[in-house]
Formats: sequence, structure tokens, C-alpha cells
Amino acid sequence: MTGHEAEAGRLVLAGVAAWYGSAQALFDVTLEVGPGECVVVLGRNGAGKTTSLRAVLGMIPTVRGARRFDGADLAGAATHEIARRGIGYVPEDRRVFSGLTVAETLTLARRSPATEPARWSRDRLFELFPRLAQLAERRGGTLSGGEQRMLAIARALAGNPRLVLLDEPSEGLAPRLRARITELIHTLRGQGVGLLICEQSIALARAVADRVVVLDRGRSVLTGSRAELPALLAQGLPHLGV
Amino acid sequence: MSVYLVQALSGVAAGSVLFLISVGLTLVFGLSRVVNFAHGSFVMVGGYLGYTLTEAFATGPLGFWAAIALSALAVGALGGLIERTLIRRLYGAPELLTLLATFGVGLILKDAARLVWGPDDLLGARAPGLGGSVAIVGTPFPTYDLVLCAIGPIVLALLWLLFHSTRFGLAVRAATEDREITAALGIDPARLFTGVFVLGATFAGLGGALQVPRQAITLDLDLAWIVEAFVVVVIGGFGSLPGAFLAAQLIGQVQAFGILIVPEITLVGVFALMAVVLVVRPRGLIGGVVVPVRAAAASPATRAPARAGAWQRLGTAAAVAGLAALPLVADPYRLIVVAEALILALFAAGLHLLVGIGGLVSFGHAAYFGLGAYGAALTVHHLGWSMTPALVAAPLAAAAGAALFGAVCVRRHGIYLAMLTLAFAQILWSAAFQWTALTGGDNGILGIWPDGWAAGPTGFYLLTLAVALTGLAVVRRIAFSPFGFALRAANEAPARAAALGLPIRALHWAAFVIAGGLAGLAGGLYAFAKGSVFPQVLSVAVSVQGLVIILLGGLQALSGPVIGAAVFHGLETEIMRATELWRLWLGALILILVLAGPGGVAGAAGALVRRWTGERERAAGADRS
Repeated sequence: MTGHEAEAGRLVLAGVAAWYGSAQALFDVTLEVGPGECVVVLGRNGAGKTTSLRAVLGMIPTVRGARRFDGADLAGAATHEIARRGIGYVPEDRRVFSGLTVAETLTLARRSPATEPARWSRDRLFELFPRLAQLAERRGGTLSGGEQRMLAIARALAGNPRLVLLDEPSEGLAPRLRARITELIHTLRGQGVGLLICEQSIALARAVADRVVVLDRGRSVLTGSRAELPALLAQGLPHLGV
Repeated sequence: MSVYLVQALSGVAAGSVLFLISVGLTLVFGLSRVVNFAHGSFVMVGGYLGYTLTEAFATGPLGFWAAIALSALAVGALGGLIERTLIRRLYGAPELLTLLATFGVGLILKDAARLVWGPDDLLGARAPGLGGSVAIVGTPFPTYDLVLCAIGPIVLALLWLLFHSTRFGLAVRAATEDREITAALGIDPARLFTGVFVLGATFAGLGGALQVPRQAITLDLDLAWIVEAFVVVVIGGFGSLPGAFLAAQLIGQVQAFGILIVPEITLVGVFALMAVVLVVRPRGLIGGVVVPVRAAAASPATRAPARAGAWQRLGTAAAVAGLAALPLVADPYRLIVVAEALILALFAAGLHLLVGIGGLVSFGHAAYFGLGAYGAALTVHHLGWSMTPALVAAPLAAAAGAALFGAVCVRRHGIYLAMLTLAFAQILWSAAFQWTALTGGDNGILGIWPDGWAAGPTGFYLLTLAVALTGLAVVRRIAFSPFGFALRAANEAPARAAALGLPIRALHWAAFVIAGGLAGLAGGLYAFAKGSVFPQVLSVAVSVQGLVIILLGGLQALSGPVIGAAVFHGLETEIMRATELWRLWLGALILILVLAGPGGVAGAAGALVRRWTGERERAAGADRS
């Protein structure tokens, strides 16, 4: 295996630090997400989970440390350039466009990958979330919280990303929808799409994580496979605050 | 009956043109939150280009319309150039800075137009084939205006299609709501900004070019149109396309029927409508984007003014002594120049209390300067008062006006407050223009001379010095009083200040009244310094002058307004003596100030320190984890 192949579709963060102005939010975050791999980031409120995802996309004024995706250095790249490399983002607070209809949102977000055929056509997305098909002509602002969550996920998938960043995907969702998301994560992994997921609860990590990273006060303090999860949790209790 | 129909139709025609001119302003604001004061300049340039091109090509209808379209496209290109070089640097800046910088761009464009087309009004030819009129139920109506009636709805339909069925349009609507998430979809926001700016400039240029057969093309078209476009944007809702159309048509009708019913108050009516909408429905008729009011967003620097140390006290004493001794050495001309600078310092000191310390960006402080000037002039002219009581009446009139308008203005923040203050200033300006029986209208009020003891240059200079120093001492006293501290707290941390039980609205209102009174005192002195009063004392230019002065002096320092006034008036006097193109130089100065050092002369060093520590960004991003 050549070095280039090893990097294809792989996200590497090494010693990432980030600042909002003079306030430092991340100190040393190191993690990797390979193609088809699901990495769950655990940590209590304010540990830097959201900031880590935003740092990947260059949404933070100052970021230092190594950030690479698909063999390319992300340093200095603008958010839209990073997104075009094949990274989709589902923000924690959904942030759907309240004035755009569901159909308009998906049209806007559609982006075909350069090489392989597009997996997530609009029909395919409506198959995934049939509710969205019924709501196609409704404005985002008029949807319920759960419906907005579906739209936010569909919006990220419409770009046919090779890596998806999910911020608290199961927070406040009905159990049935939560199961749907777990299922989706398995599907994406099967397609070779990498996933980086932030979570407060460990239930999702138990169900889908290939690997778990524990963040505490802006540092990645523990890393391990799902098999090591019980041991990690025992060791990580003071960091998780549970 | 047919008279009303024709009047309504001419209202529709005027509304159509107003829509073309306003649509760019509202779209650019919605997307980038930049209030582009230079937007009116695009109308002006469109008018001049339209004049030149129709003169050259308009031998037939085809040539005429090609000339109009070409003018619009050229203005669009100019807009793109300005966005790429200047406006781009202003995204995310506080509204005070964007308003000032774009005003500077407008000044430069005005002098550029003067260089190319000269200072005289230009009268274009009628549109070929459309010069006549058609009978509407027996009453003649200009054929050209009928075409205008159709153009507005056509443009609305085209823009509607653009924003609902093209990817570019969808992206603009998405980025108007959430720029960051739009970028996360792989869309470059900078290209959207440029695209919308070009689009807006193109339609503004079209609106200007379409005026060629209807009215003389003059250098004053920019301010005349920008103010009306502001009204449309505010009434329609910031960023709302259908809102802009509706508001433009509403204003068209108000003007058309206002002329029929009460010709004297047509202008007042339009601005009063805007004020009512801002108070009752701040988001406009069709709710546009909600403009977030960020803490301390109103002023670029909220660093507390420092108390003077021993050296500064010594320096102040030396400066005062020097100014008092000036009549011994200076010639009468210089005394007049320094007296004018002192008047400006007094005007700016009150504004500084409001903007620099209180964080309330007033874009209509000329209202109170003008109330003072007219207050003094009217008591002298109509009541036969002498100078001393007139100078007492001036600040009282201004403070009364500020108390009235301020009670409404302080209910809003940020850009809404700026627009409300502008609306009130424009109402007074319109009244001064149109209420000729009281104010003499455009001819002004003449013969406002000081009493005998202050009639000479030295006497009046010493009077101005004494009054200005007293006013400045009062501002200083207020800034370091519990009231001043409370005002600053309400600016920097409104939520915490409110939680402490500070009555924020009352504080803001009191600051408004004090700043108004000081401006009125300055206005009264100004009336006696000039011996006359014209509506120009109430104009936007005077309001902007005040803001430029405090920005020039630096918002952090209490000495800022004084230094700013001295530098500004000195430069202005020298530049105006040296060149006709003083607007160009003033505009360039404003741009340099905003882009290079928003801390001003007095605060340049402080700004450097802050950039070093990156303190500004901390305030913006501290709320995310």
C-alpha cells in the first residue's frame, strides 16, 4: 500500500489547537478517521467536541496543528474549499434554512462526486426519510425539530460526502428516529464513508463506534476501539463527568 | 375621476423606478449586513452614463434602449470593482464603520462624476417614439411613464425567478440566513457577495439611466436617491424583495397623492411613514431578515476613556491658555477658522457621548445641530431677540427635539436606531425646505448677527471659546459621573447592566437629550458665526461630518472630538482652499481612517495593542464551546 492510498478519504488531526480571539478552546486534539470508519468523540459540555468539528471545517478564526483530509493539507483553506473536498456537516442545532423549502434545500446542497457515481440522489434521500418527501414544498422554518434534524442530515448527504461530521445527532430525538440514524450510520460505513460523531451519551458509541476518543478541556485524553469501551469508560469517568 | 387615475399611474411609475433603485440596497444588506451609502452614487453614475450614451446612440428606439442597458451594465461592472476592492473588507465590521466607508466611496464617486461630466445639470432628450402622451380616460399621460409602470413588475418577476429557480438565487437566500452553513455546503460566500452587489448596482444604474428623459441629471442625485432607497428598505423590511416592491409602490402613491392634497408636506410624509413603520413594525411590512443586535456592536471600541494624568492636565491647561491668547497673534481669518473648529468640537463632543460612550449610532445628529441653528435664527428673525437669549433658546430647542425624537429612537438598537435617527433628521430637513413661510426654505434666514460686544472676530472667538470649553467640561464631567459609567456599562454588557437594575432606556434617552442640547448650542453659535441659516445645516452631510470627526479623533479618548474637529476642520479648510475636489480627498481620508485605523488619531496606538492581543475576536467568539 502506497502512502497516497493510505491517505485516501482519511481525516487526520494531529496536535490541533484552536482559538476564538485570545480565548483558547482546543489545546491538543489528535484523532484519525479512515474511510468507512465511525469515530465517536465523547466528552462533557465544553470539552471541545463541537469546536473540534468546526476546526476541521475551518470555521474557527485561528487553528494550529496538522489537519489533513484525503492527502491534502487543510491549513489556510476556506470552509467552502474544505467542504468541496467531500466533507459533510450536520450541526448540533440543525440550522436549517428557514426560508427555503425542503426541495430547494436539497437542490442547493446537491454536489456530485468527481469520480464515483452519486449515491444520494433526491429520490434516495426521500427513501431514507419518507417524511421529507411529504414535506418537500414546506419551508424549513415550519418543520418540527425532528423533521429539521432529518433535513439537516439529508442536506449533508446530498453533497455525497466521503466524510460526515455529525454533532449530537441523536439528541432529543424519538427512539424510532434514533434507530433510523443508527441504521444510517451502518449504511454509510458500508459505503466507505467515514463518520466523526460528537456525543454526550455513550449509548450511540456502544452501538456504532469503531473507535472512541475522549476529550477533556480541549485535549484528546483517551482513545480506544469499541471492544475497549468498557475499560475506557471506567478509566475516563472523571473526564466524562458521568 | 380620471385625474385620480392618472395620479395613481404616475405613482406606479415613480414606484417602479424607486423599486429598481432600492432593490440592490435591500439585497446587499440582507446578504452581507452592509448598509451601502454609495448605492445612490450608482444611480447618479447610471444617470450620467445614460445621458452620454443616449446622446451618442439614441437616434432610434433601438439605440435608446441599447444605451440604457449598456449604462446599467457599466454601473454593474463599477459595482463589482468597488465590492472587490473595498466593500469586501467591511464585511463583519460595525455599522458605523460600514456606513462611513461607503459614504466616503460616495464622495469620491461624486467628484469623479464632476470631473467627467462637469458641475452643470444635464438635460437629456426624450425617449425616441415615447415622447408623447396617451389619453387615459380623457386625461393625457406620458407614454414613457407607462413603460416605466411595466418595468418595475417585470424586474420583480425576473428577480423572483432568479431567487427561486437558480442555484445562485437559492444560494443567496441560504447565505442571507446562515453564511457559515452555506459555506459548509461547498458554496463560496464571497462570490455570492460579488454577484449580488453587481446585480444591485446594475439595477440602480438602470434606474438612474431611465431618469434621463424625465429629469435633469445632477450631482445631487446620489443623496436624493439613497435617502429614498433607505426609506424603501426600512418600510419593506431589510433584505425582502417583495417588501421592497410593496414599499416602493406605497411611497410612489404617497408622493403622487400627497402633491394633490398637501403639497407642502410630501417629503415629511414619506419620512414620517418610515418612522411609524420602524416603531410599529421594525421588521418592515414583509418581515425581512432580523438584524441581530450584538453587544457593543454599535461602537468599534469600548475601551474605557482614561482619567487624565498630571501631564495631560498640564497639556490641557496649556492648550486652553494658548487658545485664549490666540487673538494676540492670529489674524481675523484664522480666528474664524479656529472658532468654527471649536463649534464642530462642541457638536462632536455630544455625539461622542452618544456614540463612543453610549454605543448609540446616531445617523441624524444634524437634526439637533439644525434645531439649534434654526432655534436661534427664528427667535432673532421672528421674535426680534438679541444674541444672548437666542443662544439660550438654541440648546433648549434642540434638547426638546431630542427629548421627543429620542423617546422613540431609544426603543430600537443598531441599524434600526441609525435609520430612525436619520428619518427624524430628514423630516426636519424636509420641513426646513418646504415650510417657506417660517424658514424661508431654500433661501434660508439671513441677518443673524451677534450683539455689538461679540461682533468683531476677537469678541466672537472669545465667546465661542468660552461656550465650547464649558460644554466640553460638562461632557467630561458627565463621562466620569455615575451616569457616564452606567451608560458605558449599558453599552458593553446590556444584559448584565439590565440585571443590575440599570434603567437602560432612560439612560439612553438622557444621553440623547444631552447630546442634542450640546449639538443645539453648537448650532446656535454656528448661526451667529455665519450670520445665516440654510436647510443644509440639517443635512445628512452634517451628521456624517460629526461621525467622521469622532472617528478621526478616536472613539476611546474624550479628547477625541476636539482633536478630530481640529484635524478635520484644518484639513477641510486647507483642501478646500487648494482644490475644487475636496470631496474626493475627504472620501479618501474616511476610507483610510476606516480601513487602516478605526481607532482614530488619539487611539491608533491602542488599536495596535488590541490587534496584537486579538481581543476583538475574543468578544465575537467567546460564546461557542
